[in-house]
Amino acid sequence: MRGEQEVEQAIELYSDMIRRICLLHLNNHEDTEDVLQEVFLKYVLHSVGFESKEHEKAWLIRVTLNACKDLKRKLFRHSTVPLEVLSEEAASVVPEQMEILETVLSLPAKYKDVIYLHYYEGYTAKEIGTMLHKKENTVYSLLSRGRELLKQKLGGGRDV
Amino acid sequence: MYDEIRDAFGQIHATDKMKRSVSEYLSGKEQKTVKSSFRFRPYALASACALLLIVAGVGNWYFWEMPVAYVSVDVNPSVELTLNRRNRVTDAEGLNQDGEAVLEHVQLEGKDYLEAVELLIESDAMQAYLVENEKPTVTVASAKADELLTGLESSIVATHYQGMCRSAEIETVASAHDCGMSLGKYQIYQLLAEYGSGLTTEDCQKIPMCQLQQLLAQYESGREMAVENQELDWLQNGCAHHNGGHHHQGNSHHME
Repeated sequence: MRGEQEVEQAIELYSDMIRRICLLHLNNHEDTEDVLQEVFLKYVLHSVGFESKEHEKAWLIRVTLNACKDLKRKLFRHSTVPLEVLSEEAASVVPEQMEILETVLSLPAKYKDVIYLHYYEGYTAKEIGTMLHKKENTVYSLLSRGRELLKQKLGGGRDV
Repeated sequence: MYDEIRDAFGQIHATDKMKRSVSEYLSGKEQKTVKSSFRFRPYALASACALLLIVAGVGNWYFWEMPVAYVSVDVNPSVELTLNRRNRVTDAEGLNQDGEAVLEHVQLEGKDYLEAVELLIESDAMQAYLVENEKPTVTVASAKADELLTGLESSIVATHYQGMCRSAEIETVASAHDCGMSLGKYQIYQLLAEYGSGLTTEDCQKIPMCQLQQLLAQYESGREMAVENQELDWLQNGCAHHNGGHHHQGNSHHME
C-alpha cells in the first residue's frame, strides 16, 4: 500500500490528466469523481512498483480508460456530446477552444482516445498501440480518420 | 491545429472539489482499515476467518467460476469464450483446428470479454484470416445478451472490422457443444436446416464459415434446392478466394 504523501503527490500530478480522459467518455462531474476515486484507490492498492514516472503515467491512463468504460457499461450510458461536463469551463475557456473541445468530444469514442493521447499527451502511435492493446497500424488509421473528421467538422481550412 | 488541441485540453483541470473528494474518499477507506484492526479478538477472528473461507469459497465460485455466458468468435477460426458473472473469460476453447492454433498465441483467460474479443481479433494469428474482406461473426448466448451486444457493437468488431454481432438462445449452447460446433456456426446450421438444405451437423463442421454464409445468403434470396454431394465437396473445399488450402473445418464469412 502506498504512503499518504506519495498518493497526495500523485493526485496533484495526475488528476488533471484523469479529468481530461474522463471528459472524453463521461457526461457529468459525478461520474468523473467516481472514476477519480476508483483510479486512485487502485493506485493506493497497487503493490507493484513502477519502473519510471512514464510507466506510472501509462498505467494510470490505462486504468482510467478501463474505469470509464466499466462505468459506462454499468450505467448503460452511451456516447453523447457532453455539454454538461464542460459547463464549469464555459466561463474560462475562449470560444474557439471550446469549439475544438466540443468537436473532439463529438467524435466517435474510438477516435477520441488516440487524438487526445497523441495531440495532447504526445504519445507516438506505437506507444498508444501498446497502451490500448491495438496494432500500431490500427492507431495510425484511427489517427488519420480522426483528423479527417476533425477537419470536416471544424471546416476544411484548418491544417490538422 | 496541433497547438490548438493542446491549448484547448490544457484548459481542462480537475476541480478542487474533485481532488478533495478523492482525498476524503481515500482517507475514509484508510480509517475503515485502521478501525477494523484496532481490537484483537482471537476467537471472534477465528470464527470470522472460518466463515469467510466458506463464504469466499462459494462466492469465489459463484462470481469467478460459474459460467453464465458464452461468446463465440467465428472468422475461419472458431473460438468460444466462457464468461463468468463479471463478464470475465474463464475459459477459451478452439472449436476447430484454426481456432486451436489461434489460441496458442493469445492468452484470454481472466480478461474482460470485450478486451478478450478485441485481443483475439487483433492478434497476429487471427489477422492472417481477416484478409480479403473477411469479417468476424460474434455470437452471444447469455441472459444479459443485450448488455454484452451493446459493448460488442461499439467495439472494433463492428466499428473497424464491420463484423456481425448477434445473440443466440442460451439453451443452444449445449446442442452446439454436442455437435462440436461454435455457437455462431451452429446458428447458421439451424437456419440452413430450416431452409431445407439437407446439411447435417457433420457436413457443417467441415464447411468453412464463409461458404456457409454464402449458402445461407442463397437460401435467403429464394434458393430452394437442397445441397447435393458434388456441391458439398466444393463447399468443404474452402472459400473460393482462399484457394481452399488455408482453412480447416472452419468458418469465415461475409456479412451483407
